[in-house]
Amino acid sequence: MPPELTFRLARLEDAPLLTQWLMDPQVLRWFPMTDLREVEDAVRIWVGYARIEAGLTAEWNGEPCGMANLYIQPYQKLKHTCLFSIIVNESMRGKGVGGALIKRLMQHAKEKFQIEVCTWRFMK
Amino acid sequence: MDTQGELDLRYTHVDDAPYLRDWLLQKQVQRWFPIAEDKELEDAVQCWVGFSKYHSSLTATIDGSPCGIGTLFLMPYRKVAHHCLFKLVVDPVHQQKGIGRSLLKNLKHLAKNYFRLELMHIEVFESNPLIHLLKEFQFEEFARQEKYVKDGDQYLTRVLYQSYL
Repeated sequence: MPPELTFRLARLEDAPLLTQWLMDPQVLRWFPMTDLREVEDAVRIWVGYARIEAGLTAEWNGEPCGMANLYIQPYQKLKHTCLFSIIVNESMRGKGVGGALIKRLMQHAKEKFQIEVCTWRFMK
Repeated sequence: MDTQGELDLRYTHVDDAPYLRDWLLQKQVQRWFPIAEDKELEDAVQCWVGFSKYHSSLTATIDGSPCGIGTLFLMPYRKVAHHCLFKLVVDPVHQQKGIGRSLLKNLKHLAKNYFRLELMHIEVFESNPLIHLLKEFQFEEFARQEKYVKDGDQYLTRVLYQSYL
């Protein structure tokens, strides 16, 4: 992992940055949202998981460069599985941020939430 | 139709929540849903009945008393608003009387003709008796996920069915 790259738990204050990244049309095409209203709704849900420490923010030299989140299930019978989402700031791609973030998120999922299966849904 | 009283369908009211809660509390129904605790049950009921405000939920009644609910869980984002997940439950006392069939038929009609949806999908746990009804209404399996449900030491597979409208 590059020495400049570090991780911390996501915070509610990360919301504006996440909104900014998602509003890039080249990014938004891979998500189901269309406009700012929908993006803000999705960001509210995503960042809301920070309350249970289910989100991670990647930083490059101390500046946020990516985020990933575990959508922890509200039902006991489903708590061993979860969906996850990930985004890397366009200008920081190709530096191994995404791969390292996924790796750290999987470790977090296993250790903190005892997740057995992580699922990622994407549009082709 | 094999009901002993008069079967009717109407839009779901928020007041139907206690009936839904009662059905979901019963073991033979609850085993097909992820619900295991009181809070989970309450959250699920509120979310489910909440769709009544969009008129995307139907309640079957026999002589005016609710006996089943089918709901279209409309999507909140435009790009995916042409399809929806749906859920359906029938009071165990009134199962095997054609109520589920009637609800599903009318839900498909509502989805296609009122909401202009193109696709409906549902997720069920493997062996759910609803599967035979889904097949009857041209639903086809499009995905399955093993070990999706963990009930004690036992895992269950979830199966997703869809139908183009």
